[in-house]
Parts: sequence; structure tokens; C-alpha cells
Amino acid sequence: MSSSVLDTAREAAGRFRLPFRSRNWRGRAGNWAGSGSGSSIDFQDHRPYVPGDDPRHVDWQAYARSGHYVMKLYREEVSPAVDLVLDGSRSMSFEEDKRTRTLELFAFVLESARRNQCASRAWVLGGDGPSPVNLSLFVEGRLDPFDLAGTGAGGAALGEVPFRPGSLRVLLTDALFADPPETVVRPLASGRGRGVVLAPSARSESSPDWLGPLDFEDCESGARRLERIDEARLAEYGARYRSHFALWQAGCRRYGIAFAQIPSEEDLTRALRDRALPEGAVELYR
Amino acid sequence: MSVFNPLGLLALLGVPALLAIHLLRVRARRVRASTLFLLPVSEVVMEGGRRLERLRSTPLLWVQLAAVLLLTWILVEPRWLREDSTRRIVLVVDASASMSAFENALPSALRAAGERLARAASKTEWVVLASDPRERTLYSGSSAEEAIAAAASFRARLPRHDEGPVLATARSLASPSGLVVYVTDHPASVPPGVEVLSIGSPVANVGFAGVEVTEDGSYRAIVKSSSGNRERRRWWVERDGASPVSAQELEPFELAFVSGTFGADEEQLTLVLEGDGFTLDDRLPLVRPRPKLLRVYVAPELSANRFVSRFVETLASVERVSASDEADLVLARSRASSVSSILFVSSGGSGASPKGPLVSEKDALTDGLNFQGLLAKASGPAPAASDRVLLWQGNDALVYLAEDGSDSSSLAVAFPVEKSNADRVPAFVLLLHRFAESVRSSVPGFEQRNTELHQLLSVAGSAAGARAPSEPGFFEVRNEREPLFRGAAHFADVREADLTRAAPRGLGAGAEKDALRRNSLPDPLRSLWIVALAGLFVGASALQENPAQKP
Repeated sequence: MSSSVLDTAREAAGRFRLPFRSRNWRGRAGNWAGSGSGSSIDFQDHRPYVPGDDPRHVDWQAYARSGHYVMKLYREEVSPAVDLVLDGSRSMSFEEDKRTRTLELFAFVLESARRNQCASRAWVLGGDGPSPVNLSLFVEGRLDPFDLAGTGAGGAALGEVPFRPGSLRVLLTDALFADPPETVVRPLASGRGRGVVLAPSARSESSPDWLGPLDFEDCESGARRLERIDEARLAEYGARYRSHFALWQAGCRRYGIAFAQIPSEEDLTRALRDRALPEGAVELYR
Repeated sequence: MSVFNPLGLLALLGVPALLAIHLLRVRARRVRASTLFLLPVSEVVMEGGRRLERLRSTPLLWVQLAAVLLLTWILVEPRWLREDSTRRIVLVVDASASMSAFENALPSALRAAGERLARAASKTEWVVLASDPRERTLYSGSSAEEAIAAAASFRARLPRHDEGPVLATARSLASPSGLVVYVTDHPASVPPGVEVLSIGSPVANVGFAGVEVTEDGSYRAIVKSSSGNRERRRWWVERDGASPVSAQELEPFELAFVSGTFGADEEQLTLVLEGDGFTLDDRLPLVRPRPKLLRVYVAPELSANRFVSRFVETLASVERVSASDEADLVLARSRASSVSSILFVSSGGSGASPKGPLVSEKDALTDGLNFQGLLAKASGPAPAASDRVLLWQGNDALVYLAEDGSDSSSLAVAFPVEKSNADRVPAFVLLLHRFAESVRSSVPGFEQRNTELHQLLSVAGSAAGARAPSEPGFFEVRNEREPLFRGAAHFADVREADLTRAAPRGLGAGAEKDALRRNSLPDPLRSLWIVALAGLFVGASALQENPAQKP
């Protein structure tokens, strides 16, 4: 793991963070509004006193008015759990730029979680199912998460990831598989989870320089295919590419999941600003 | 327009090569892709990378084709002949008999060479000579066709001869800007400035190489193989009546003999060998020899001379007559008539001892004879001023020729032959024989004998310089009243019959290039074409490396 990746991620995490403000979270005490009552200074509600309640939270003014013990409830402040999943399929790493961008996003998510006192866990999806990532080793630069990928595509194994209830679930995937997006991303929204999909992309995928006779090799399966590509077929490919990601966008939106394509060729901060921020996949750090 | 470097046309092979490359599917570029599932599968699936595909009109193809054509144009170095350019080409046709084997091939070879030679100048002057210096100029003019026809119609029948003088003449006729082409049948060595056009090819020849016929009618002919292989030929005799056919087998380059006899009244016949590529030596016409009779008168004072008697006996076809007036040759001590004589002028006087070296004068009678060893004492009268001494010993004349202005002449022997060893010196006897034969040839009379082709004849009563014909056959020399000579001419030059060295060889390109360079102007836009070609190469390279520009 190069230090430049971590530096880039830290720089981006200084300007953007994961969308923690978008909803109430559950988790250990922290800085973010929880879904229950807590000990923050933000008033939330009243309720009748029941034995065992902390007498410090009795609303004495209300008692003076009504003669009943009324408990004053304050908003709970928690730190959400962040479950990060990296699609370890070969398409994520067979181009160096895309691989670097993926690692930058991986580090950005972890750095953003760390800055916000979130409990983070990470998995790499490979052909053998999800593999947990030792984050300490990653942060120290001694672990490349792609080394845990094994063989095979990982999209189908997302359901096997032990997401924590109510966690912020971030999936790093290029979404380059033919499975319907709904079936892939559904686990991100299950168990009151909040999902974010960050999709690193490469210009060679969106605007490939394919013309003439080409001997294609599928980077995932190694299957070969001979094709002669002309302008018409290239245009048809471009239309299919755009349609594919429009489907992903719609499918994610259906589950309340933020989906953003992050180009590999742009600066990470700029890419997050231009692509992820409008989609709600990140928010300004302040 | 002429092309200076025809080999440059080989660059045109690039056109079919390019088309083949574009027809054969180019081996597909290997691409790793993650989005193949988004690429629609084509209706025609390519297989293996070697299948023929429809030729597609692409800018790359056209740029490459244009580059090949431009490269060809530059490489062939087109030149434009100057309108005032003139060139003289002198064809020297080998007159040797061996060329007769390739007479059929000559016109086409000359035509092909002529077309090529004529391209080096706007106007070409043609001169056709034979390598026989006695032959007149065969053609001189500006028509290539007529020059070729003249050369092709020439019949080469000479024996081996030196073509150098004619080539030197041709070289001077051609001038430095012209060209001399020696047309022969083998790759000959020629002087500088002469090109060789050889039209020959090896021929396995078997033919007659000579014959010996005696007066009694028997003949013995030599058959020679000029082939490196074992050959078998049938042969027979052409004569009145049936003649059996025999076969003769010869090992490589072997000599063999065939023999037979004339019939009792038979005067001529022809031996025939089965034909091959060289036909001149396949027929051997023969006549029964009938030498001219020489009438000899021996003076009484010499009748007892042993040397004279023995000499007369060695002469062939001699009739001894009893009167000097009836004789063609008189042997006597002194000249008594106008008949040609051999005079033994000394009868054994006591001359001085021989002093000084023996020296023979240059003469047809002494040519090639060596008189060393002759021991003789000059003792006769000194020769007159008009006499021509043939043999000297010191200051003494031993033999001299006395000519009195008439047709006859006398050979005087000015030493006593009886007291010399002249009868044991072949040169002296040969000298007398030569004189006797010269007398025989000068007297009128009928003679019948066999000759070689083109042989110089000496027939008394006919024009000087008569020669035997150049084709095998019978011939006759006659005056107004009667035949003087009857002969049969046959081919007998074994060097010309050996065609194993014959081989084809075309004209070299060097002289043509020099002539074309002299007589033409180069392409004025050549530099521009080179720059354009470089541009096309760069363009093709860019199109090759940047597939996005391809359709």
C-alpha cells in the first residue's frame, strides 16, 4: 500500500465525509443523532416518570404546572457503525489507475469513519465469499486488500457479509456484472442499514479505443472473443454502458442507496465533489 | 519514357502483398476488457484470425498503396529520351559454321535484344557485319526489323577464324557512344567495348570429321562424337541402288571409322549420318579421286642418275614421255625448252668446301622446310640477277628459281646431288615435290578429288581464288568447253563441330544503362516524390498506430 494513497484519502477525508447526517443511527455513544433517547443536550420529548428513571431528568417545571412527574427526554448521540465492502473482482484492479482509485476510496471510507469515531469493519468479496480485512495492517500500509480477493467475482456474495444492524454500509464496486442491481444491493439496505455504493470507473470502460479486429479477453473469466469493432458497434456499446449505470442508479435509489461513479482519471477530491456529493454519497466535512 | 532500373518494378509486388495483408484478417489486437458483457455479439463471428475477409476501403490501405506506387516510380528511375539522341549499334554475326546449328533461334534472340537496345535512344542506327572480313556489310540503316532480317538471313559456314579484326572495325564504326554486339553461340571473350549475345546451347553432335579416299576406290571416313554422353547413330551410303543402314555407337568424344569402296564404275557417293542439331557434318559427299596426269621427260644425261630416277618414281600420276615438247615437266642439266624444268645444273665439279650457314628464303616452296643437315658443295653457274634464290649456303646459291617471263619456270639445283646427302634430307625432296605439284596444278587438265568446305582451289584455266562451296555437296569447275575440276566438298572442322561449349548469354545491362543515362533526362520531380513518399510513410505509420482514425 503506497503512502500516497493514504495521503490522498486523508486529504479527501478532510473535505468530505460519509453521509452520517442523512439519518439517525444506532450505535455506541458518539457525535451523531441516534434513533433513541440519550444524554445529549438536544431535547427530544416528554414521557411520564416510571420508577427507576434518573431523577436528574425529571422536568420540575412541568411537575409544578401539572403535579405529575414528567421525564424530560434528550436525543441520543451515537457513533454509527461503518461496514465497508470491497468488490475484489479482477475488473477492479486490472487497470492500475482504477486499482489506485479503489484503494483511495477504501482508505477514504476508513479515514472518514475514524475521524467520526465510527466503528469500522471491512470485508473483501472474492470468489470464496467475504474475507474480513485487518484494518490496522491496512492503515500501516502492510496489507493490500486485493490480496484477500481470491478468485471469482464478488458481487453475488454481498448477502454473506455480516452487516451490523443499522450500520452505514459502503460498497466499493465497479458494478460491472450483468446481475440486476436490485438483487446485488439489496443486502446494503437490509437490517435498517444505510447503503452507499461508490463505483470507481475508468475511461477505458466508458470510452474504449476499440476499433478494428480485436481479440478480447474477459478479465474475470479469461474467456476470449474475437470481434471486429466499427463506429456503429462502438456507439452501441456506449449506449449500453450508459444504460447499465442508469439501471444501477435507479436500482440503488429504489433502496435509498446513494450510488456514485468515481472516475479514476480525476483527482479524488474533485471526483468526490463532482460525482459523489450530488448523489448524497458523501457530504461536506465542514 | 524509359525505365532506368527495371528491377525497381519488383516493388510492385508490394501491391498484391498489401492487398493480401488487408484481405487476410490482420491478427487481432489483444485487449483485456471488463465490460465485454456490454458489447453486443456480432452476427459474423471471426475465427482464428486467418480467414479471408472482404477487402475494406480504408485510408490506411489507400495510403499504403499510394506509397508502394510512388516507391516503384522512384525506384525504376523513369527517364525521358532526348528527341535528338542517336545511337549506332553494330551487330557482328559470328560467321563460324557452328552458328548454323542455331539459325532458327537467331531471329527471335535478335528481336528481343533489338527491342531492348532501341530503347536507349530516340533514333537507332543499325549496322550488321559478319565476322568474316571478306563479307560485305550485311545491313546499314535505321530499321531494326531489316537489320534483324539481314542478320538472320546470313549463313555462317566459315571454319574457326579470328573475329578480332571485324570487331575492331565495328568498334570504330560504333563510335564511343555506340554499341558493338557480337552475336555468337558461346560466351566468347571479346575486347572491351563489345557486348556478347550468345544464342547457343549445348548440342550432342556426332559427325564426319575427315575422309581418306584412294584411287582404287576405297574410302575410310572418320566419325567423331562431340558429346559427353554415349551416342548411337545410324549411317548409310547414298548411291544408285539400295544401301544397307548400319549403326555406330560412340563413347563420349570417341573417334570411329567407317569404310567401304566405290563400285566398279562408280564415281561418286555420299555417306550420311543420322541427323542431329548440327547438320553440316552429317553428310559426306565423296568422289573417286582422279588426279591430274603429269607428263615428265627425263633428259638422257640424267637417265642414269639414281637420285633422279628415284625422285620420278615417288611422283604420283606421272607419265614419262620421250620428247621434251610433250612433257609438262623436264628434268635436265640445262634448260632446253620453254617447259617447266628441274635443272640439276652441276655434274660433280670440284667445288669449294661448303662454307657458311644454310639459309632458306621465304617462299611457298620452302615454307616450313628445314634444310639443316644438307651437305652439298655449290658448283654450278651463279644464278642470274632475275633468278630467285631459295636456298643459300653462305654466299653460294644451292637452289634457285629461274623465271623467264613465260608461264613456265625452272628450279635449278646448283650442287651435285650425287655427291651430297640430298636424298636423305626430306626438306630437299619435299622442295622438288612442291615444285612438281605446282607444275602439275598449272598445266591444263581434268582433275577430280575431294575437298573441304570453302577450300581454296587451284584449277588451271579457271579464275584465281575459286573456292569449294560452303555446303556439303558435289561441284564442278569448267571452262567454256569442258570440265576442269570435279569435286566433293565436305565439312571437316572438328572444332566447329564441338558444340559442348555453346551456351546462352544475354546482353549485360551496363552499356544500356550508360547509353540511357547519356541519351535521356531524369524525372525533374524526383525530389518531390521522395518527400511525398516520406510523408506517406509517416501518414501510414500514424494511421497504423492511431486506430481511432480508422473507419
